Amino acid sequence: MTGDRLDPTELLIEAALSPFREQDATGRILPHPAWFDLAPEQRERLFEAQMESRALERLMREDGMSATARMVAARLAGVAQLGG
Amino acid sequence: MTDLDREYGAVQAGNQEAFSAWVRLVELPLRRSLRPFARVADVESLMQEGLLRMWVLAPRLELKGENASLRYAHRLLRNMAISEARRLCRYEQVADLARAGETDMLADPAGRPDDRLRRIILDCVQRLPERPRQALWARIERGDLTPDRDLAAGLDMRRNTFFQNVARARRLVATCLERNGVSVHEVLR
Repeated sequence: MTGDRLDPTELLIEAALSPFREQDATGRILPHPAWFDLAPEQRERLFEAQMESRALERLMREDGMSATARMVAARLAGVAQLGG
Repeated sequence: MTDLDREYGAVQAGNQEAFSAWVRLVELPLRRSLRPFARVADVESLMQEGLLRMWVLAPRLELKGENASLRYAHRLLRNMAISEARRLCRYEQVADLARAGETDMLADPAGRPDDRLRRIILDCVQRLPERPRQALWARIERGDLTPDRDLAAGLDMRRNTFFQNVARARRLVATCLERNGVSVHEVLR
């Protein structure tokens, strides 16, 4: 990073840090498009940043829910449990 | 019976609030356990998919032992990560990954968030410059269901400017936390 400007890798990492993920037609949750443009060692940097971001989100919100937890909770409405 | 077992028991009866409580307890140890697969799989999408599967499967699972739902979720996510890796890697790399973390101890479920820590973090966020603070809160409050291009547009920012502001916010919060004697280790506990 130069000053506040992110280099191309940092922009990709920041994009993939978003908790938002698209779904395919079957409902499968897809990798972030930016993830595919990251080299393996850059994906490890992304992983560490995801760990820290989700942990911080969990601490910042009164309900203790990270963005991942909220995303999953929001999707429950459209996802049925398998009956016994 | 642990808190985790109690919550997942309620999940198996279809209780959505219990599921959110269960996710709060298991998310960090499960995410941490996927570190060996970070080079070959988008861990965020695996986590979301895996956690949803734990909801779908819940009524049919027969789980025994303390924190069995956490151990089951761990196996489920590892298998999903290995499948994802197979789509991208040569076989011998996948075999190495499959062995990775097999014998690692899965961390205990996360404890309750620390109120003191939360106050320090919120104070650090409040001290941020306006635009980085707005970008960070937009991601935290709405980033789960809203793509970044829409978050940026809502703040009258270009997408890359939004990314720069979020990154700057995170960097400044980290510096502020260090000044207050808070380490990353403490945040990740």
